[in-house]
Amino acid sequence: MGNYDDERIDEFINQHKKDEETRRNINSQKWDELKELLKSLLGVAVSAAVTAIAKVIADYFSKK
Amino acid sequence: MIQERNNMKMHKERSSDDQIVKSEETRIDENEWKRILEGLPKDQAERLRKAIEDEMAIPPKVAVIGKSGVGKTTTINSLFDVEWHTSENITGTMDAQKETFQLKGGGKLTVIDMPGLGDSITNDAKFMEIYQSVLPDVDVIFYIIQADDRGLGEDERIIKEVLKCGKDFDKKFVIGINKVDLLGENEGLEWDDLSNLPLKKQKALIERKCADISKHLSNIKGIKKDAITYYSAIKRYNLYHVLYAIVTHSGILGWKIAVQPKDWKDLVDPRIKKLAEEKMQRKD
Repeated sequence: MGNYDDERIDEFINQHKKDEETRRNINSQKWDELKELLKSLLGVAVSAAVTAIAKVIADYFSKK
Repeated sequence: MIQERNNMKMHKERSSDDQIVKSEETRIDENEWKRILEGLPKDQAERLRKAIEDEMAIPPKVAVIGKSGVGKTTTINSLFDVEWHTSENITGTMDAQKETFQLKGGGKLTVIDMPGLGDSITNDAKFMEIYQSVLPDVDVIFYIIQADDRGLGEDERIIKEVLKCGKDFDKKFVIGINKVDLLGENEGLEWDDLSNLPLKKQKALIERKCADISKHLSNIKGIKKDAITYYSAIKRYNLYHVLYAIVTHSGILGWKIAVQPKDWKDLVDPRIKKLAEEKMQRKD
């Protein structure tokens, strides 16, 4: 394995965390877009129901 | 002008017997719908269901542009976790190739592989006609640059030409700097295959070099810094960042783009992966 194992492990963890954060940001962005779409489709102001629906659909599109 | 191959291509999921396990349809299943529509009045629920299904039937369109050899096909396959095999007899033609994929994370996506500018002035003129006809209809224009390319002059010229093809193209223009794994090879800074990542010195070089490219390209009128990302398609490095740029520049269709690139961790040495996971668990 050599002497770089600690560095490799730390880089792995850093990259993993960075990816997770970006994935969350993407989902949040998608959720906002979807909320806007739902608002226009339903012709209603943002409500807890619309927010919940948007989240479910956004989750559906980002699930692994 | 667009060669449309299989209108909808089924793809294979990784499984032991390599069976095709995905259907061609993009639909939210009944249980999901039940959960989504719970609590809404019946007429509103039905209206929403119809509207969303109609929306989902329209896949976002991404046009991919780049000089030959920049890794367009590898990028498409890694980024969207699909298997697009460009056939020999189509490669190098003057047509744009279009394919609609069923994405593993849900939803559909249409990818248009544009013919590469920069090969000859004669071809460029013909290509520009194709660009003018195809690009106004796409949601994202994804331009790929090769990180270890010596000069940016040609790419800069092409980007400016493409931006002139239509109104507001700058709003949907994303630039990806590919093949960052090759940076530093001449200085003995090679990609670390065990972690499938750049180690400290190469990483610093990648960040420095890509910041320079980004600074240079963002001087082009209309190109925003946050629309420029770097990655390695073959090593699957930083793909989430590219997806973020694509989603945020897709206008109202971004929500339909599934976030599931090929996993870079699949290429990591199992010993490093195990040690890293153990360390993460200890920290948690």
